[in-house]
Amino acid sequence: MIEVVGLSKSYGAVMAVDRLSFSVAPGEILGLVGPNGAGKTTTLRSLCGIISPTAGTIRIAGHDLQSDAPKAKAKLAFIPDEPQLFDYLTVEDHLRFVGRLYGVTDAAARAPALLDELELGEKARAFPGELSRGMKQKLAIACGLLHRPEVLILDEPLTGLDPSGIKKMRDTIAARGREGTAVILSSHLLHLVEELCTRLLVIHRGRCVAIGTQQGIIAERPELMGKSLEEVFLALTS
Amino acid sequence: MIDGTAALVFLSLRTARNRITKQISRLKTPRYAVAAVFGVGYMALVFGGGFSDSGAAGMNQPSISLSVVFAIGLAATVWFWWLGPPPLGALAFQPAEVQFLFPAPLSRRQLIGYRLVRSQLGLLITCVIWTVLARRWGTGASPLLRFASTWALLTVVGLHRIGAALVLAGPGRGARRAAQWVGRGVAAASAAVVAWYSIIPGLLLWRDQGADAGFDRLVASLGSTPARFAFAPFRILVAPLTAESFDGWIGPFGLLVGIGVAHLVWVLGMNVAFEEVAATAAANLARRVAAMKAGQGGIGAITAPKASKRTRLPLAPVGQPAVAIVWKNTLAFLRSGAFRTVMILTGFLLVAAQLASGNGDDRGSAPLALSLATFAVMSLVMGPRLVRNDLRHDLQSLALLKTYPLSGKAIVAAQIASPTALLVGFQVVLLVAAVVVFPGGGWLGDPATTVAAVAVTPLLLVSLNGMSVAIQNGAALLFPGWVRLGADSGGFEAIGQNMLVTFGGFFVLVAAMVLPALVGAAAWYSLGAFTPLGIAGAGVAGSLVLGLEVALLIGALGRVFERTDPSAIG
Repeated sequence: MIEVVGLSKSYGAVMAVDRLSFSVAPGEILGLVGPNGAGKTTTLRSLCGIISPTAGTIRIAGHDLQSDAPKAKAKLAFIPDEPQLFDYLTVEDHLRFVGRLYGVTDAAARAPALLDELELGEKARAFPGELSRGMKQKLAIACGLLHRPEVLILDEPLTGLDPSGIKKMRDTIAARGREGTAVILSSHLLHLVEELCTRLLVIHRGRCVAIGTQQGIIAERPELMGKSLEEVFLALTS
Repeated sequence: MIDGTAALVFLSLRTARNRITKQISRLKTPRYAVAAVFGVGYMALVFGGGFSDSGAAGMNQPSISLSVVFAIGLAATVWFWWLGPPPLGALAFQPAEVQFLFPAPLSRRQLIGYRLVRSQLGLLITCVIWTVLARRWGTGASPLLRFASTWALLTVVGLHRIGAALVLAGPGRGARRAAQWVGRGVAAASAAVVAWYSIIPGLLLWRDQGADAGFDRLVASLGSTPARFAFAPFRILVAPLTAESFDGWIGPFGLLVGIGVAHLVWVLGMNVAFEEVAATAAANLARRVAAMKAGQGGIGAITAPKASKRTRLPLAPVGQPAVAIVWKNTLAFLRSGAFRTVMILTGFLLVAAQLASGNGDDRGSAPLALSLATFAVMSLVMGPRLVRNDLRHDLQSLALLKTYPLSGKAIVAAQIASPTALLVGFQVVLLVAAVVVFPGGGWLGDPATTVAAVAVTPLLLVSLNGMSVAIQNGAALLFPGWVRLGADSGGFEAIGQNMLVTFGGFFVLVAAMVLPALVGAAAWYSLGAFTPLGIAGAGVAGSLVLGLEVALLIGALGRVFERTDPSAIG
């Protein structure tokens, strides 16, 4: 579903991402972890077509993100840590807008259920300025899920959510995985990654230092046997 | 001992230094370097000698009417601040300033002082540009005096705006409530006196004896009737700008500086709890500039849509995805303060024109038709600068736009389509109204000529507005560091920056019009000049060529859009 080969992104002399290759199959949830400045956000932004890679190829659901960007983007949803909403669109307007943008024929029917699921039903006619930080994040999530993306990319999705919202979001991510969506989840919350992700991609200074299941990564490094994910992470990125 | 002022001075100076350094470093990019060389060369050529003329030798005696027009504009602005929505944008601090300065051990006086100092960099740049342009327009004495006059005037106006915002911020009780009533009362009384003794008589005379007589009456009445007292403060403010010599300048300038000092004492002396208003403005600003990109707030920064202003606009759930962007931008405009401003201005124009047209007979309806047509032409020139519901607003969400399943070309085209459609619709309505009320039933010569002209006008308007809007969007996309992004155009502190962009855009528009004009002229002559066929042929040919240029420009901008990294914005 997601195929990344030799992805590199440089800013002048600085190599933000260096020859990164990995794939994510349908139904798989890949946890992208790494210290601050490791290149996670650059990787995610490259995967979404927000920035152009310096080298390498990215295929989303069989479509090359460079040469066939609209078709590739139609299959994915990106939910950033900082929700970006339009000041002059109400909550329901946002969903109508996204529905039309992605050609969601049943958007009108799906939107209320999605809003209810994310506890935004009563705020359907509110503008972003009238929403709390967590509500904005929920709206961004609703917009991302409306078109049933085959690929879901999440950057710190729990930021700003209350405990109830965190639980719902966790459940939602897991459910998408079970439904066959390929998910990439970037987070510093290692317990969340450990709970939800089927595989891990650890990057450090733009390079992949480990990829696989948590058990597989540990199995390749006997010195990490019996360590927690946090200890494994620190050992790999120190 | 905590020295907050020193910290604020450091912040101001370092910020100014870094802003200038960043702007200069942009010149390393070929695109910016070429534009800068071109712009400086153009300014030198057109406005050459702005700083080289000296004293009386380079003087042009400004007309009295120009200074009166300037003063009227100033008066209208000040009255609007007091009588309209409070100018709370004057108190808009940047989000980082709210985060760091508001909880810091700083007095309100220090914060306001910092806000004043911070605005000076933009003002100084504006003054330099005004000084250069003013020579061309024949105002003022030597360049140095023009610069000083412009700086003092804009500083006083800025101080007054902050003062008005501080007085009007929040509901207020006791003395503050009294101050609000006094401020609004004085403004309302001044405006009423000027309207009663000058504007209305001027309009009536315009109706009866023509525009020149009406304007002469307006100018004369502002200097003789009771309106002169209400208008005097604004005459005093602009007097240094129009002085003929140093001797004639020093007195008015001294008075202006005195007014400035009085304003400074007034503003710094107010101990108003403005933090909440400022923080709200900053929060709105933060939303607009998404991800805390740099920029200063204007009135647009605090005019978030109210819950009661939920304009509806249908959107079919299925169809061309790009239409969703057109829908979004159109809805944003309809819900914005800009739309309300346009409607108020149009209403004011129609009332004034109706007043001038008197009893509605054929002779009297000519001013109304002329006003409508003039307003349509003005909107053609200024509209693309003012209606900003396109990439100039959305570039701040470039990262989001780039995730949409559309090509760069489709996104750019959709962004340009909304303001173009709104402007064309507005202009068509005005022109149709002008034709309808024109004496003689609106016929331009004979019915066939009228039909030809009416048929090609929408086509011409679409291509002209499309090109103007495309140029503005192109400027934002190619030079995001020079073009003010966001819903507002930056207020008067950014006048200089906006003027440069306006001139640059106008120059490109003129260049883009050359080929369509030539093709149109060829069609005009070959099909029979003033015949209906000649008019229609020229309009269609010119529009098509201009439309082709717009399409090519959109394609090129689409490629730029796809290459642009969000980090390059802001």
